[in-house]
Amino acid sequence: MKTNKPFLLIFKLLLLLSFPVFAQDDLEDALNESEKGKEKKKEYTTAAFKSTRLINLHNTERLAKGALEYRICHRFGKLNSGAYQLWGLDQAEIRFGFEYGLSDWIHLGVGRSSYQKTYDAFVKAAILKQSNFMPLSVSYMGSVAVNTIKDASPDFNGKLAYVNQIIIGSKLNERISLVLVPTFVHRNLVADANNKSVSNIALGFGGRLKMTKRLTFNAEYILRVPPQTKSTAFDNYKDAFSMGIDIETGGHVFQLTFSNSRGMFDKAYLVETTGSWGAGDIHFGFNLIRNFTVGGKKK
Amino acid sequence: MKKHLFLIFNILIWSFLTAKAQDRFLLENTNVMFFSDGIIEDIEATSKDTKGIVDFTKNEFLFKIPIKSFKFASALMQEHFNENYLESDKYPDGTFKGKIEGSYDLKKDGSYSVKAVGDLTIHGVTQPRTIVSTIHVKEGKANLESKFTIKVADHKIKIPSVVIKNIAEEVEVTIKADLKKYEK
Repeated sequence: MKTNKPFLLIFKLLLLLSFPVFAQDDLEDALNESEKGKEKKKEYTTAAFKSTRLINLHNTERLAKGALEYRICHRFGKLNSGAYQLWGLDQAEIRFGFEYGLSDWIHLGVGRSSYQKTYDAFVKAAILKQSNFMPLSVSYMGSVAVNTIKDASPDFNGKLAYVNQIIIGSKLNERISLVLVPTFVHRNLVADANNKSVSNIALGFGGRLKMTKRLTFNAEYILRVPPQTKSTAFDNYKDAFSMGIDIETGGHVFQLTFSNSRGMFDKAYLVETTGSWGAGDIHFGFNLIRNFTVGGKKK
Repeated sequence: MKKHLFLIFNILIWSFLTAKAQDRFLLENTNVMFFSDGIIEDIEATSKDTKGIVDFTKNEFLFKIPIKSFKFASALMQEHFNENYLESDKYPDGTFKGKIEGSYDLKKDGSYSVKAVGDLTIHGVTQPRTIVSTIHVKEGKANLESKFTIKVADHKIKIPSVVIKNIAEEVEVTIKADLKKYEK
């Protein structure tokens, strides 16, 4: 009997000691346990990019339902044009546009560019959204551009150009997001191709590096796939390479860009880029984006 | 003695097990709203995904709010709330954990004002807080309600000077939840 006493004491002590340990994480454990068996909530990845464009190229971001955006973009002349042209700042091209989030899946936009006096309209629709169950976002983007320069074409049909894109993107982590954009461009009438229609395939790719909460570095490249037969409509032009930064200040995003392309609508930067980085044909530009919420309250 | 010991052991295990099945309640139908009265714009968001457990035997509680569950009227505001202010990828949950002080009787109808004393963690920064709450009991059903303010600076949530006029330095938080007995 006596021999058992120390054992009992130790046992009691152990129990006493183990109690507070249990008590500490008790609630946490119980709460976690009560959550068990419940389906994990689907959570869409947000804010892969600060804006709906990388620089010129569409990315996987769309406007949310009820969001209205006003964009005003400028591309200046060549940096190598010297002091006389104030390094290009004397020659500004402009595009302004309105865009709207029809739903959380569909984004519409219209714009007008001074380049080729072009009106453009596009629709971007989400096919897949990146979430905690899905590593990729996939969207479709289709646009039409109307060149309204006098005598650009004998008929209306010749003024049109179409772009179809599949946008595949992923926010790899908090800092890095990437996109890959297989693209099909069709122009009804191209002067460089004896006023015939031309179709091109291109592959756009690029990404962003988030440097601080409100500042990202972006770069994109448009790789044009050479046509099977030699064509001046292809050879006279260059692949567009652009880089820039996004600065976000609440309701505004400022995108400062450097590119060998001056185009601000799809066809123009995809297949009508004339400048060459090597020769110093670099255009400074910016996109100024203001976001408003016009839709009703979200439940 | 061996029998004795076995008995004691059994009693201890039994009491421990029953202790586990104490007066525990889970939060249900939760509604957490915060409101900030800015000079330029008011900011309001609601979350219905708060989880919580209250142990009325030990007078302990634990609340957990997934920060991303807050819904705003403006999607952009919601994005900035998560991205720029609360950094919800880094700090996914807000928690409040502590003890209940004050008297109440869950078996008797009435409204009981109690104090929730504990640690409030938001944006990875923990602050000791005493928050006055009310437990309402009616016909065997209980719910709780609370309203308090959070100073943004207390939780190291930085507001850049360009938008300082848009965002108030204090936000008012309202919590409502039903209590449902946790059977386990």
